[in-house]
Amino acid sequence: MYPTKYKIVLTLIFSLLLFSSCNIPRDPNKSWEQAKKDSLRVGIVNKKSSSAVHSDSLNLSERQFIKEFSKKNNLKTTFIEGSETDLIKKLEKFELDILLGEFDKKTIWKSRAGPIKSYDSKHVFLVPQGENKLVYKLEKYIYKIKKDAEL
Amino acid sequence: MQNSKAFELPDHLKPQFQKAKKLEWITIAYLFTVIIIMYLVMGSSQAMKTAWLEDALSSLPSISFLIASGIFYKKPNARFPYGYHRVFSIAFLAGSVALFGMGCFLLIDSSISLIKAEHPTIGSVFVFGKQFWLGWLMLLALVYSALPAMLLGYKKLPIAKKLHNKILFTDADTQKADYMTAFAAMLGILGVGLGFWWADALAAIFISFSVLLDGYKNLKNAIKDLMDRHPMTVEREEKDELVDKIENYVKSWGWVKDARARFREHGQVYFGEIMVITEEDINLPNCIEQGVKDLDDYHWKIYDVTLMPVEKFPES
Repeated sequence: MYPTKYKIVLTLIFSLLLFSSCNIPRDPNKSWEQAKKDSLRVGIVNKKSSSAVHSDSLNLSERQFIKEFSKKNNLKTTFIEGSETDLIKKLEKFELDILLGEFDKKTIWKSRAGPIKSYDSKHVFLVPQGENKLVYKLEKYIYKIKKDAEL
Repeated sequence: MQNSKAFELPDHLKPQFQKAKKLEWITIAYLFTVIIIMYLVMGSSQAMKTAWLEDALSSLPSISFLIASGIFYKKPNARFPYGYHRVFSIAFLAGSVALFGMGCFLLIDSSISLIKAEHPTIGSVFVFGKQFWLGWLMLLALVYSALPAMLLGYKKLPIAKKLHNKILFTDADTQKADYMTAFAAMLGILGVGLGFWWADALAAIFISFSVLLDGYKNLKNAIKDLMDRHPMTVEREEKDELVDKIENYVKSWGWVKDARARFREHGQVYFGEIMVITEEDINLPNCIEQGVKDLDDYHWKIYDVTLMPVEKFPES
């Protein structure tokens, strides 16, 4: 059978998993915690998403969508407008939590930001790379909205 | 020049060889499912990407073994007077080069990922309306990639030793230790889940190292075998005692004063020469003929021997 040292290592890992599973995933830069504490910093590219852009399945603009998301999660929201390049840089520096700009799923910024699941099977929001808790929360909301729209 | 017939394993090893082939087919089918599952859940994790490539590469020894096993036994002919045994050595070399090359690539790729501080974004999946973080599925995929592989490795290992087959042994040995790579990747994914972005790249570097080391070790052995070194045991990389035993066996013959043997590996079997200093007043052609016959029956690994009478041994 397995030697004792393996048993100890396995027990430790399973205990760690058990204790932490409820709080996985986490954000390396604590974006979600920061949004809860202060506000969700949302970048908008050249006012593009502030106009009413309707997708097939979502009858919401990107800006409205994020407002609803913040309301649902009791978050304050700060919108910051700017050019695509400037806002991507801010996103990379974790100065923004979400970037709206009707980005295509295959956006060229894919390597510099973390795209999440598409809300209309064509477009995505961008988030800082690796902020997995924030991604988890956003994807949960996208799924809910999509389901509601189907009903 | 006595072996003009097709090579046949001894009767007691034939079922083992068939079993090995069956296990390798099972391995390929199993790895095919692993490669698909890992690809589906890989996401942007560097550790998963590395583990996935490692799994894809681990099918090479099995494929090489099965290809070689359809060639090695063919009988020698005018174009290949020594037969086709070295097809195993060539397959071993090809597999090692692939492993070594990929190890280098993965190490560089993973190091760049760490230096660039790439934070892996791992999303989620919805199953029957329930949200699951993709990392959990990655962990399940990694368990699936490790446990059956370990079992297959343990099953192939004793057969590889009996058959003196280095590709089969390498394959079994690597699979047996596959839990280490899966375990490293699991720690990487868990680290990411706990908010340590660097855990992913670090796990990937660890896996790359293990691929690189395996590649280096195998490449070294494959080259040494092709350099006609003294036959080595598959499991411990020690000089095979069979060569000394056969030398002593020849020395024990009544018409032989002294003997010196030299062998090299051709895949599973050994080729070589035995120089003999003979007694005087003997019927040399008859003795040599009988000697070769005796050696042919001595051990299945001793496949092609030249008995060469000399007056004195060359200085070594």
